[in-house]
Amino acid sequence: MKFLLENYKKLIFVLIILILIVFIGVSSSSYDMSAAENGTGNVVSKIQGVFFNIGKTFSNAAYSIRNVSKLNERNEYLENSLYELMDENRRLKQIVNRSEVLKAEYELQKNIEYDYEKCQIISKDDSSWFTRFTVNKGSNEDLKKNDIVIKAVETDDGIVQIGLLGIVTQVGDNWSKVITITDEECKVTFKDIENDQAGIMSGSIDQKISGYFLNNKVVASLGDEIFTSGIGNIYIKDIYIGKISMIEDTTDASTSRIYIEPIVDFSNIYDVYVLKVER
Amino acid sequence: MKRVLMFLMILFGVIMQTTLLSFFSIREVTPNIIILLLIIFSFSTDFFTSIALALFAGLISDFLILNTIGINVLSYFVIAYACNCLKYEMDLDKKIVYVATVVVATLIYHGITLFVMFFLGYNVSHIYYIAEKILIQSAMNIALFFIVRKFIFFIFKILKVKFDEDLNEI
Repeated sequence: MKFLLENYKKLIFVLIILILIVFIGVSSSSYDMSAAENGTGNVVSKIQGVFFNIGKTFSNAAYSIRNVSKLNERNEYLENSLYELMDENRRLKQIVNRSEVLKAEYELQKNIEYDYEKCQIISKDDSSWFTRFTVNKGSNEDLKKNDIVIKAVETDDGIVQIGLLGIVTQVGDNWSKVITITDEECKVTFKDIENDQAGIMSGSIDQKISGYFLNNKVVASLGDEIFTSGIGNIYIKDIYIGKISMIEDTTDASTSRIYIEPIVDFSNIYDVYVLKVER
Repeated sequence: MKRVLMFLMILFGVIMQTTLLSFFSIREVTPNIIILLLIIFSFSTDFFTSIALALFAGLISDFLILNTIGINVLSYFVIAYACNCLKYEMDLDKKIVYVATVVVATLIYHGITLFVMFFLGYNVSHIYYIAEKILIQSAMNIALFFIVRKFIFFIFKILKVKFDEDLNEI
């Protein structure tokens, strides 16, 4: 008894450490959100949304002030592009109106698009070890685990494309946790559209995305565009990921490791789209 | 009332950490305000309160962002335990003691996270990338510590809640 009274702090320390180790082990293999997490997030997510918007406002204001001259140039460029696009649009409308076949194709494409939900990011992980964030929608809006998170990005050619951002890992009532493709836990099967070969990639703690082709005899080139392959039924196919930025021979020289520059700018994301995929 | 205020400040700190503070980063590194709060509170409260604050801060942080519960809890718990147990061995009148505590606490936080990630199977060979971020975060934490401390003293003074026996204004 005397021993317990004299050393209660150390005993509490050891006991809590052991409990936490068990906790970490159990929660790392469990994939669903617990009731405590859901309850906490339901309450806190509203407040987080307010503060995140405040931060976004200040950040955008600071960006605008720093880039006034660049914004004017950009505005002029966009105005010129708009006139060209309007002209082309008029020309294309004439072609479409004359063609029943094109009309039917347009209707078909509208019907096969995935249902999506526009979400706002309400908090980000700050630890430097993970690249994760939470969004302000959850099961109330029919979001589910493994729904794909995307963002519209403008490529170098001025074309707006869908860029892969990440995947929903846990869903609460009105909030969800998202893991990005630069996180090590996120593994994506890809295909190189130049050589039509598939591979697997993942992020890392230095937020670089790297991977390798399933066929070790594949020859890839810098700048090859990488899309999701759809293998594994997690990520739907043909979502743009990025371009190959570096190719490195592995130590045994039997395969090459490729590094991919993602098309999405992860430092500047506020609003995202979640594709609701029926599986 | 003092304890309630401390818990509320920890909750506020966690919310700020994941929202506003992410916009004030240097080379994608944000200061860790929760470590600062835990150090300040652990030096001025009893053992059980400091442990409870650490567990609360860790659980809220893990619930809101991570899929694995316990990583932040473990780090914050060790920091709070160490600060509370060692506070009588340290001369808390000197600024350098606080600076050293902040640096060590930041290193403990990342060290424990690295340790846990290694055992969870993460590839931690790119530790050099994180090492630079740890240094930057340590510097940011030191710069913020005295501001946060003054702010806490101010809040307690405004609300007429006794913070410590001697309010050491630095």
